[in-house]
Amino acid sequence: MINIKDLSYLNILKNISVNIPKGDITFIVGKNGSGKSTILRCINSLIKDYTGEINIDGKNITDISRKEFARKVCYIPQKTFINYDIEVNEFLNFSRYSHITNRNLDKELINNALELTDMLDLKNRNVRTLSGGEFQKLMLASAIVQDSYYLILDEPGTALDPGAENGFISLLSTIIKDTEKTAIVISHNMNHVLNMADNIIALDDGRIIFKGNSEEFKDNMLSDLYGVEFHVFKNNNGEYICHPTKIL
Amino acid sequence: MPSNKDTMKLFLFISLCVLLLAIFSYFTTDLSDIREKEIFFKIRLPRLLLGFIAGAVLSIAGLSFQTIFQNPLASPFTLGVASGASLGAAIIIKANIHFEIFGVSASFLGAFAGSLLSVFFIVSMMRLKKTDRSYTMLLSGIAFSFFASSMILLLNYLGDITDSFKMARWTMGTLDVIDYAPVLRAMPFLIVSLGVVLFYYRELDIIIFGKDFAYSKGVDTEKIEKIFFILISFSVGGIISVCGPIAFVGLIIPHLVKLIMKMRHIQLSIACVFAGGTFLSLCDIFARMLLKTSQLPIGIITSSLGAPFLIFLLIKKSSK
Repeated sequence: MINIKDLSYLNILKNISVNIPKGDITFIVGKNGSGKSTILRCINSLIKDYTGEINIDGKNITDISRKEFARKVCYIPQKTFINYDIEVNEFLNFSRYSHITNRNLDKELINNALELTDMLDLKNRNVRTLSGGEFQKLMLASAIVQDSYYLILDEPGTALDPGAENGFISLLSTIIKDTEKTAIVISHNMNHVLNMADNIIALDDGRIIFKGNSEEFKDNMLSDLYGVEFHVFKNNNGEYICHPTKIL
Repeated sequence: MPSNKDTMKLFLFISLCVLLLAIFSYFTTDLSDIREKEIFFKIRLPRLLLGFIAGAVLSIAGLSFQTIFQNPLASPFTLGVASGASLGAAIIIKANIHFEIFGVSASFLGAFAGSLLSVFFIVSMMRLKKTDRSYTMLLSGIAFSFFASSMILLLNYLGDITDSFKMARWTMGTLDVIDYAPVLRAMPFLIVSLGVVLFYYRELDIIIFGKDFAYSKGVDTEKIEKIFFILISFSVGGIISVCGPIAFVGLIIPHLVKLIMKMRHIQLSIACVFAGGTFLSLCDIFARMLLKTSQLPIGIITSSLGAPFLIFLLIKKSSK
């Protein structure tokens, strides 16, 4: 479990206290500038001068070595730029850095991740030549190879066209369930949020204004959070379909 | 893992460097003459070896600083180590201090103390300001560099013409040594700088893709930054103390090696040793050969040969 207690940072986060349970998919939602990415950066120690406490599995993150942390948590930021020539499988090998080197196991895990993300035929491709969709899948494959319990994703799939985004999110959802990982995801796509989330945390101006499940979020928070009226219904497969209708 | 093709390229490159060195040394010496033979073994060979070691250390320093600070302009000179060493040597020259302890001269000790002072200053600045460590490090280095340069100018202004000439000559860099003592003095700095890169090559390979990326993969980037800064600066300080601040090698050679070869740091660092070492040794041979009556300061040769070559490679690469 990730336990956040009285987390404050500059004027961006104000007294955030929340528990993120193990095994669940938790979505963090909110308007731009509400502090979503900053929370993730604090959890990953990319921001260190915050006040408050962040514990992972009962241990304060300041007491965890970087390698141990990487074995527990894998963070995929919103944007990653690769400016160097490197092959896909070699790039994935970096994700094994925090583990004791075992070439056979590493190779097996890389092949397995490439298979799960349908990228086996791109194994020897230069990372710089990958398309946006392929690159997102590569980042997901790198998270699988890293083999950590917690997966933290900042707006996955946002740079993709709607078709590719849906394909990527459904792949992500399958992989999270199959590998039994705990995921914390930031997203602005309410269709994905309502259908995938076990828990939803809504932020406004650096404060938590809602904690609950999809049903509660849809009924009590969705429209107020964004200042937009949403039409939400379930299709024949029982999936939520959500689209904005008018600005409130 | 690097492919066999890459490894082959590395070995071919190393062989070419060694061959070039051997050809130049052979053609500039007549070994059948006893006097020439003595000059070769007592003066030229130590110079060649010292040039090789100095070039290697400066190139490794440039390679690791460019990766750690994610800045293509980072070099051993960016962080103020060279200016600190120059200030130390300038103070010794101005104060007219002459002594030798176990074969180590006062100017060597002064320069080494100056470089350590710059390291101490930057580490203290990092302790004061705990965020944005890379920027603190770079900006403190640049600030210290300007401060040291202004102090050297002041010493030049206050000194007589002989002192000023000595200071100016020292800052041009030289491989003017006799016997193997300076070579032995420089050797540990090559071992330290190459050792630290080879020990942390995996971390450098990951850091090149961004510090946040490396951090999320489990690399303790702050620790690595500190280790490299202290050990590499220490090595650069040691080399500069022996042969003065030789400009350009630490900036240009890592770029040349990276332009020629796409490899990971374990091979890049070895390639830098051979490329940097060979380049500086060849520059020294040119510096001795160009003027019949005297030797040119090596810094003039490194910059005037290196800059056009780098531009040539950049044009060749962009036209591909």
